[in-house]
Amino acid sequence: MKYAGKKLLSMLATLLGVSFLVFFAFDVIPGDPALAQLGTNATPERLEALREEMGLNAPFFQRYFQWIAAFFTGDFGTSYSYHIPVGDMILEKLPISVFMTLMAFVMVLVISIPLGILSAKHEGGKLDTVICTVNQVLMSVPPFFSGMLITLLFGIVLRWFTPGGFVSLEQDAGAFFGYLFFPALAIALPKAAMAVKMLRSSLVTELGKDYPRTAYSRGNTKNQVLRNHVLKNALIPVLTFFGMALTDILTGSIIVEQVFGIPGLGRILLTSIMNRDYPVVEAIIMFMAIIVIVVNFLVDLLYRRLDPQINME
Amino acid sequence: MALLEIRHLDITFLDKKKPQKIVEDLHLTIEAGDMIGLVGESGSGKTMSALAVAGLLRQKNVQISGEILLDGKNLLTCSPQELRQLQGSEISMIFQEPMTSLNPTRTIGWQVEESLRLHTNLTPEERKARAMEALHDVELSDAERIYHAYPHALSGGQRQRVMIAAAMICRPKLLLADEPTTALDVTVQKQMIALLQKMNQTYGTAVLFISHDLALVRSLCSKMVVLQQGRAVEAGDAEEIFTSPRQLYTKELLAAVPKFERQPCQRLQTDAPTVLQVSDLCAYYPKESKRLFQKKEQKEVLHNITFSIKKGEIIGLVGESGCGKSTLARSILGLHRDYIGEIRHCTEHPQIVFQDAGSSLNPAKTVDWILQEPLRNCTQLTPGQRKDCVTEMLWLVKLDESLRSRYPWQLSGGQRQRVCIAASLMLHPEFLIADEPVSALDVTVQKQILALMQEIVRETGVSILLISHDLRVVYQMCDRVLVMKDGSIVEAGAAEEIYQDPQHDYTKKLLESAGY
Repeated sequence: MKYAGKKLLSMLATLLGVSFLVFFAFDVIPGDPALAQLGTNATPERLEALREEMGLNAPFFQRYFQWIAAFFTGDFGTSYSYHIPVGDMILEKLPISVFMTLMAFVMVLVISIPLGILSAKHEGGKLDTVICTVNQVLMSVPPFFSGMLITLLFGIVLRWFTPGGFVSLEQDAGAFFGYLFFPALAIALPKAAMAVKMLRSSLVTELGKDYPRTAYSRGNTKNQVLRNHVLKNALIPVLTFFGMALTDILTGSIIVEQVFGIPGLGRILLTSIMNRDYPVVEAIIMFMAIIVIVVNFLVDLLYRRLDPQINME
Repeated sequence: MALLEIRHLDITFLDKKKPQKIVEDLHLTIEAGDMIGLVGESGSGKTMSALAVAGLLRQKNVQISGEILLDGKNLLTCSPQELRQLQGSEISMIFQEPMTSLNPTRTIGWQVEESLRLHTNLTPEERKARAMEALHDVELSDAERIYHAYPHALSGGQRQRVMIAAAMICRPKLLLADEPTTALDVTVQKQMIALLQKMNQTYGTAVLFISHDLALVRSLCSKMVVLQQGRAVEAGDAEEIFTSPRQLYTKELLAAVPKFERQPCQRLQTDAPTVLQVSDLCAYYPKESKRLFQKKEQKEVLHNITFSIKKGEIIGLVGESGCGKSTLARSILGLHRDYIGEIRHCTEHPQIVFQDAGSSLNPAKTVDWILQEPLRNCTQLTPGQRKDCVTEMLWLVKLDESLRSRYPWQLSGGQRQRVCIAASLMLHPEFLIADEPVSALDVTVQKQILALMQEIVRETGVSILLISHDLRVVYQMCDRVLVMKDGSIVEAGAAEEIYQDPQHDYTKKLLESAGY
């Protein structure tokens, strides 16, 4: 209980810190939202009037506190360029990005855990060498480039999906997932490759310790030793990586969304930055910060489940 | 037919450029219910022989030839399935390191029951009943709590008991015990030996007891085999070998075992200057706070420690692990600052020599670099002068000049500890702490290092606070002794007086456990 309370407080503090930095950053960077809206040939009077109307002339802290207070009550402000509530804009796009992130993350787990175990089990053997070599290649290809290769191979040569032919969830759920599969794969591959490498080395380290020898002395097979003894221990250090990968995938999906023409959060984030549509940008960054903080908290909880040496109280 | 028969056992490691013979032509017979000792220094092949019997050496880079017959079945040629059926049910093994031999993420109950899960068709309830019985068998009080606990919550002695419980749960015919007491405190060692004897007598389990300690093997086993560099040099009745060894190596091994003997005490000049004065020292560790906004509480781990060390004196600090010996050393050195009381040094640069020379030396640096480091940090000497100092120091600790360009991993355990001692002496300190400096070393090497330390005291007049759990080593080396228990010094005085006439119950118990 004490742990949860402590954690919640530190999460809130982190979020407040992020909110202040975000708001402060967009306040000091050059660029005037009023000017961006009216264009460069607006008269100074109109500009001033619009600034007043948008509340840009109030003191910094007054604006910050108004914004953050509204944020915590669920009012994220109104988009400067679309004149609709930011909350609606984000809620419309959020599911697409979240689906894609989760798909990519599940792919990372599904690919890396079996391959990591397989590689460690045959350490030094042919299979291990093959896995490690392929890994090395995949790790060094950035997602936007593997995205382009995947579009070329599966979209243009094999015609398994139509590049640029995004289908929304409401239109056709099957087609929606079918389309998201490939960008998710592009994001997942390098992360999965890194995870395989980490899990493999963690497993190999654990296998060299004393307790697997004890397990063998009781008549366990190699598979039993790996599954019942070593895997749980080996996952502890890899867990941090999985947590980082999840948040990385979410924030990194912005570019891949561009490559595949997916109207997710990434797209509105980019256009909003161009238009100096600060309420939208700030809200998206805050949402991402919340997701990152929550994921870290979950990783922490999982840690405590896996490692009995971390005290619950 | 004998229970276990080892014939012409050869073990060769193939991973180096040239194959290394670890064990050569070993013969050993164990009858059912026997207790046999396998004795030798580290690297003599005793652990490898046991691992071969346990079937744990079936690796690509290990070549084993000969025969290991268990009830007439050759363990070296049987199929992996057949071998696995025997492992844990007919042959069990316990290891030297109880701290690392248990899986840290599984409960004790799960691990104790594992052999039953693998080798029997018992229901979970029956398994638990058997496990509880096994935990009671190894005299663990509070078995219910321990059943659900994880290894980290247990002490070293408790973990070794758990290991024995897990190894014995299928009532194996043969138990391989690889230095099961070496990592434990003296008082716990004695209990563990008694426990093995009890298992042997109650269940008729034969025990192959591996140790470097001849005296221990003599007290436990009827027969023993002495190994030197993979060859059995002497075998036969344990008592006979102990009292009248025939081989030179056995004699050396016997002579090196520390005994309760000492040179007649050279009287110290009572007017020698004091180099360290500790008065009313209390040290603290932070306690985990219970609530969110509670002030951090502190736990007192040292209580009112007062003592002093004179120039040229060796003082022994004895006590079981966890009694605060290392905290005291760290406080004196300034590595632990959370204390009240007074620590007055009359010398600059107090130094420490640690137990594990292997891991306390930087593996990426040469001996020369390591020895020069204190000079680089604390003196203005030129590189040439520093080299000369290193040469001089290597001579003092009797290391060959050619070793200065070596890396720590290229040295033997004894050489590494010499390097550690040399490094601690580079700034000519008047006071040195030696924290279990020989307990990780073989007896023969141990003897040499202890002799070296005595010689250094004579030649340089350095004072040493020698921390050790081995009362025999302390008796040989020290002028005065401090006995520590639960953070307090319960007895202090001249070594002879304390050993001849211990006043405190705890001192008596320690001496009794050590076989004094």
